[in-house]
Amino acid sequence: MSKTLAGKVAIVTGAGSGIGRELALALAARGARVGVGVRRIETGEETVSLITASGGEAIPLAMDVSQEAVVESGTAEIARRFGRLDILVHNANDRSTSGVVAADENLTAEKWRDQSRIALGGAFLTARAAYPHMKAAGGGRVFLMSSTFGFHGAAMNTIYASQKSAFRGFIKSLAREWGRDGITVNGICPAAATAPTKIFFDQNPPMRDAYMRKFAVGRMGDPRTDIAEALAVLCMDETSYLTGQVMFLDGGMYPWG
Amino acid sequence: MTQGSILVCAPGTPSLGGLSDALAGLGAAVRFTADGEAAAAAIALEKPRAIALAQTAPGGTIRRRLVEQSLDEWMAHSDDSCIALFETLLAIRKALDGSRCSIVLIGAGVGQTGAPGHVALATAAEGQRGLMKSIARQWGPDIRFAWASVWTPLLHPDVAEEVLPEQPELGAYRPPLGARPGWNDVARAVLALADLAEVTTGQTIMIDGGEWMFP
Repeated sequence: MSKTLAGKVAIVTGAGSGIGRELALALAARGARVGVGVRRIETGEETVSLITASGGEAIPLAMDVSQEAVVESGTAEIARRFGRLDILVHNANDRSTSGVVAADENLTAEKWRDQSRIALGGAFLTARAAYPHMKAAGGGRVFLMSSTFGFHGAAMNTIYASQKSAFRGFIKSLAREWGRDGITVNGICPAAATAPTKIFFDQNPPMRDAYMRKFAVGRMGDPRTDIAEALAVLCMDETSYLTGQVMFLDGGMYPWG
Repeated sequence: MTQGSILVCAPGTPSLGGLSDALAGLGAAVRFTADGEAAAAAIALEKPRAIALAQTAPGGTIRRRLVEQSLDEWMAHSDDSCIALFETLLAIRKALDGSRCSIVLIGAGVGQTGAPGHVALATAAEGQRGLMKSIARQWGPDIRFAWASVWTPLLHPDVAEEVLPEQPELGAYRPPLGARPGWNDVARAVLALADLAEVTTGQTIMIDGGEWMFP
């Protein structure tokens, strides 16, 4: 693997499993030193073990992204230990709420706010904490993991879809705010065969078959090779002109734009 | 043109009075309400053919760079707008009680274009737009939706939108249609969108004189 990110320092939130873990592995494989942000430290230690076993360098970081003090101190700790911060990927997501399917009349403001703490609150806190370090480094890359749900809406998953849509406004405005500091801000909408997705589709074969017909490439993406590797490429210095975009890594499922 | 009355509902968004006046000027039967409860009461009295709705967070708008905001300010000016709109729409749906209606949501253009100093407002606008799409999938066919993005200072006169820098060699920037639309232009668009909702839902259009031409 070419060390295209050698010398870079990254923080990936929600990196204890799934796409987040793959993102941390992919960045480390290209030479970045990685702060592995997780809520449960043991999952972060597992990710770090995988990275170090491959010759990379990483630190587990207990970081509930809804907690202001924790985000501030964790981000500062990574910048201090590794000397800088260049890349932030806000991937953390609360599965206990985001995957809940519910009719609108059964949703409440309290449920909405519970779900917002990690999505919108986490996006705000992690970006704000990263900014001074990226500015000091002469620039950086901020990525938010969004969703196609944010573009096409989602029946029975209103809160999640609204928040992923909200990321677009966040990304476009922050890109304009930080562009002159050399910091790019972009979003990714992945369609990947994560473990929960596989389980869901194994239990719902007709839905799986209908869904699979949408992919232009005829398959659902692999979290490692199709999502994490692509994002790692987007973190390279050569992408400094790409900002304010929300990109679809979806195998041509939604050929918008 | 749309037949029947039009309800203009403007929680936290008094500028929408301009839209109400413009719709009346076009001959529409208009009722203006300043909050969701009043809207529900008005709907109970007379089921409107269409509703034009803009919802601002209870805390209003904020023009401040992200790094200068507190977490509480951030959530109050971004997420709370979405929650407030959701609650208003639930009240409207209940009051409609199965009646057919087109709802045209009016939103700030910065959601789609981005603007420095407006991260919270843009996040709120896009969150609301995503909300509209999700409920459009669930509330049809009786309730249909459209989203009209307008020039942000028209909707929120207290904020000044960052615009493209003027180029002296080209003169001041002007949209292809000559000027940024005012409420009279938006009113005509609202009537058209309310009619368009007969055949589609969840769609977005920018009422900006052709400035951005998204997508």
